[in-house]
Amino acid sequence: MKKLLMSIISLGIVSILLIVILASCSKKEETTLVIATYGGAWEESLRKAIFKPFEDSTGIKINTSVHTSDFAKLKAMVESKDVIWDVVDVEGDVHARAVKAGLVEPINYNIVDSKPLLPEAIDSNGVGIVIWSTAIAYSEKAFPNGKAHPTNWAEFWDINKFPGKRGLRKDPYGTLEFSLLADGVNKDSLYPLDVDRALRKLDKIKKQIIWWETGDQQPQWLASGEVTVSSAYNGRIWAARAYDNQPLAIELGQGMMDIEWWIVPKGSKKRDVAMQFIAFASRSLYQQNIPKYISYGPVNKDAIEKIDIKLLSELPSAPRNFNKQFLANVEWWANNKDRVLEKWNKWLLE
Amino acid sequence: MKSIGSSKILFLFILPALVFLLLFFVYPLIRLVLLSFGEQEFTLDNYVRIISTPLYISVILNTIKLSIIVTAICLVIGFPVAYLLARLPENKASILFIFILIPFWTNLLVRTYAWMILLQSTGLINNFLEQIGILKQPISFMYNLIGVTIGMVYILLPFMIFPMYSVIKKIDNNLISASLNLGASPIQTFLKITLPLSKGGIGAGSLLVFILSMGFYITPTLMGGLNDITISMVIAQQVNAVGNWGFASALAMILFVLIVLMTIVYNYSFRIERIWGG
Repeated sequence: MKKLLMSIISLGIVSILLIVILASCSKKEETTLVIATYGGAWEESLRKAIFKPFEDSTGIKINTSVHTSDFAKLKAMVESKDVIWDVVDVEGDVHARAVKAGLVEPINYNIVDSKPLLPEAIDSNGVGIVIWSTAIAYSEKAFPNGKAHPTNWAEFWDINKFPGKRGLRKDPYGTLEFSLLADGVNKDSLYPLDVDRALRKLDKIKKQIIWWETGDQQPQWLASGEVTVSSAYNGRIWAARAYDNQPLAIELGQGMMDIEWWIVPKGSKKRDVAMQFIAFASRSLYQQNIPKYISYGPVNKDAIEKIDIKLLSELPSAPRNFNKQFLANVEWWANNKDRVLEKWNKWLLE
Repeated sequence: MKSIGSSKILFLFILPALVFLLLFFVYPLIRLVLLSFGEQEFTLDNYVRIISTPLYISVILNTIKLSIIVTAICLVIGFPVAYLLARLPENKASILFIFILIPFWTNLLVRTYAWMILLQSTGLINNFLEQIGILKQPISFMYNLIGVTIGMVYILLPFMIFPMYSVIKKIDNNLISASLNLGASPIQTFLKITLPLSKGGIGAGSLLVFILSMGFYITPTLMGGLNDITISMVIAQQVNAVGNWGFASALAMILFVLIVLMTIVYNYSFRIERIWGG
């Protein structure tokens, strides 16, 4: 028994030593930058378009860490003053909430050149990476060439004209906007959202809806026929068609655009390197690479001009697509999500 | 065994577990309690909000309802299995155990997704039933209460079987033989001898399954329908989507208190401490 006790104690000591050694090692390495991204195909594209060129030209190594809209982890990190992410890639609503909660360092625009960027992608606490869109996706099996498919949210709601199950996100974000558009609200006067009106309109198709929660469910359900039309991320549909040869298509009209942001968590120990990275990532030379790997639209105007027409036509930030869509008002959401969620949950339970 | 020296050594043995619990369970729990009463100054706002909003009351009731359904089904399915396992000779029982243990060792997410593949409206079961002509329209097994229940029962069943097995195993076979010898029918024997003696196991298994159901998150989220909102889903929303940790803590405290109360009631009525070896 004493032996057992001894071995437990020594195991404990060894593991503590190991942790100390590992911790001191990571502190010594000054020339690495930890970037947290959403991972998957998106990170893969970022690596090819931006991370690799950055490593090659600066000698600074980029380590990535995957997060899942981890507002909670960011908050815990900043509040415990133990910031291990130097740069984080976040969606618009996470960005707005993080800024509101004071978790973000201001951007140094002496280092980052904001001139060529779209005005929507410039914020005192973040710099845009790409614009992506949540829009109407459909299966070409259900709507073969020549057969009309829903092209706006009013038609998406029209169960008689376009029968079949609908896929919508099990979250009020975006879903309420689409519902109001279907009800005839103009895209420029969506905010502040009339939540009750949106829910009433959703009632009309409640039984036809299958609710997705993650991006991978969208192409999966469309391909399997579980749903015939769905709200979906344009990048997911594009990837399913490009890489998996799925007969899927997306209609960007009336889509909701979201900006993806680089932010620097408050208290980051490598603030200057982080700014240097963001400045690098915003240059047109690297911005124009992104759509080669994933169909998200650059926010650098010079980059947009250099992309070939065919590729450009599928990008949410291409001028002709940009005007057909609307930009999600993430500030409104940051201030109202709590209240809206309460109404939303109540509606779900009805 | 009860000498002072040995109890000191015993204390040394539990010391690591004790330190671990204090550091990683008791301390965070205290922080959670404090957080639920306001981040800056003391306030009851979070609790008042829960009690005064019908939504949260119905979510709590919904969670309890789901937990009771899952526990009841686990009990009905689990008891015969536990009984069979306890009565079979060791070598045969161990083969059966493998069938229970292998899924039990498999990752929760993998198992949940596996069920989704089987149950979805274009899934294996629906396809099969349509092929052989039993169904014209696919049945919705998923995104409703049926889906959550199937998924949760499947995952929690071992937690019901193991405690029941260990109790039934201890029942003296002579008691059953005696009862049958004295003219009781098998059903009478079961109701008067086996069942009362298994009570502790039934209690322990049910309690375990119930507690785990109350906090279940992945399966209801992935397989549940619109109105299968559980308290853990609301907590996750508050932590991640809203960032109101005070309110999330208050919800977590309510869940915690409910479970503690439930444990006390169960313990009192089933005398479970006997199974834990007390």
